[in-house]
Amino acid sequence: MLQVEDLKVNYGHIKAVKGISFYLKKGEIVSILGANGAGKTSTLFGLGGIVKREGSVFFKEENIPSSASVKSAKMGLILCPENRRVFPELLVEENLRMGSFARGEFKERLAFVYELFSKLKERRTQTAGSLSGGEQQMLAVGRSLMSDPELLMLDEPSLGLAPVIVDELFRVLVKLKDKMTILLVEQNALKALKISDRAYVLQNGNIVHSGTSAELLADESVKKAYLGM
Amino acid sequence: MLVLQSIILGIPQGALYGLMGFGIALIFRSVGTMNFAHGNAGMVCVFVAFSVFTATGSIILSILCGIIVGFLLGVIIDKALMGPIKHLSHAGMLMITLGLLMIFEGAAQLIWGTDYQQFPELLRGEPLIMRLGENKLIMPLNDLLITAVAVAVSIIIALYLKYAKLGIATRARAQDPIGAKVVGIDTNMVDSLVWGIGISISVLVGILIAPKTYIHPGMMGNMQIYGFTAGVLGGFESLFGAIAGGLILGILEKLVGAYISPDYQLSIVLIIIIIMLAVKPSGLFGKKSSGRV
Repeated sequence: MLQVEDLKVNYGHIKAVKGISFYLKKGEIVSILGANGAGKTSTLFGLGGIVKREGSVFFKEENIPSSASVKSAKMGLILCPENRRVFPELLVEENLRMGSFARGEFKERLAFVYELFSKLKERRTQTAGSLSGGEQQMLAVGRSLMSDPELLMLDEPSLGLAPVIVDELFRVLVKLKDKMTILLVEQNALKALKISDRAYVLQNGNIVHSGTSAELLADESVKKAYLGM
Repeated sequence: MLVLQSIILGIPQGALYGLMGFGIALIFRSVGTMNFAHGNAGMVCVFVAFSVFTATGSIILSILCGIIVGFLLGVIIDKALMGPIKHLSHAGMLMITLGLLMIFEGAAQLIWGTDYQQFPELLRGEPLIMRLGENKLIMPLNDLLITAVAVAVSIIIALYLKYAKLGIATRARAQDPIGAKVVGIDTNMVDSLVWGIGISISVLVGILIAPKTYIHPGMMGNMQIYGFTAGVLGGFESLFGAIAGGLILGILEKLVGAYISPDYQLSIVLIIIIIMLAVKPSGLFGKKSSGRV
């Protein structure tokens, strides 16, 4: 589904991602774990065409050039960015409409998203800025789902959310598994590994561990560094 | 009665200020730069319309040409000049618009000279005569047309921004550029569109005001200042604040003219900017929300 070779992301002289390679198979949930500043968000920004990158990215056997955010969105490589990035002064439903800007049949997807997050339906005529943090995160995920993603890249979806809401969100992700492939970047490593098939651990822009979730959960050094066990 | 008369006379003028402010605010909100060349970009295109008019004699054709050239000029400014530095510096973009301000004026002088050219009124005929108690108020038909056009354009753009997919995308891009990118909005295309629409509006204002000011390289100088003021007054955060700000300005200007002295009209405008920035920097209709979102 996704094949990434030697991905590099630089901001001026700062090398955020230093040439990483990884892959995702169709239907998998794969996590990228790592401390703050490890290069997780930069990796996703590079894949989603938000920032310039080097290296080759093949999605559905097609080459995705650097900075091609429109192309990746149209092909179904959808990024749900960190910090929600919803449009604060647009209504909830307008936000969702924008989600289907590049692809996705609006009415059909809207029904799907409202079924998944009934709160959003209740609040559809409110501005996104007036929602609570948890609701905004639901909206951000919902907006990504509007474009009928084939590969959904989620960046820190649980950031700043109450534990109950995080649980709800992860239940939704598991539900989505048979519909799409998911690349999950998460600070909550234990939770992420529980729902993932495989995971990569990033450190200073390099992949330092990789394996199935079970392997990583059993690895002493990973446990110590990222799971606090 | 003098009050009512000033208000009625101020509306057509204010509607133009409002449109001008609206275009400036539209560009500011989306792209993040104050366009100092807004009026002069419009002026150059009014000259184009004038040339088309002298060549063909058709008012409609000349207006269409002017507006289309305005749209293209906006797109070119964005693609060729703003595009390369968009992500680097807002101050740089501001300097470019200042440069354009002078380039447009100089180019217009070189090509069309400094003479005052006459552009026909779009609507001629019996003026509308209103009775206000004992006074009679004479309203030229062209002024009525100006008001109607300004209202129509505002409504069309409001509907576009509210309901059209690209219109919502324009607002979305202004509120969160990264959010806009991840849903697949081509933000560069939206920026070009915004520049195109903004400059087209300036051309329209220029054509509507041309029968009064005549066409010359400095014709839009006042419009630029009044447009900014309309934006400051209404708040750049809300597009329709600029229109309301423009109307308030137009009416205020006539009131100052009637009760104090026409000489003070422009100074009053500048005083308003200063007071507004000191008392309520976000403008009458602006919200205290962060940045330019």
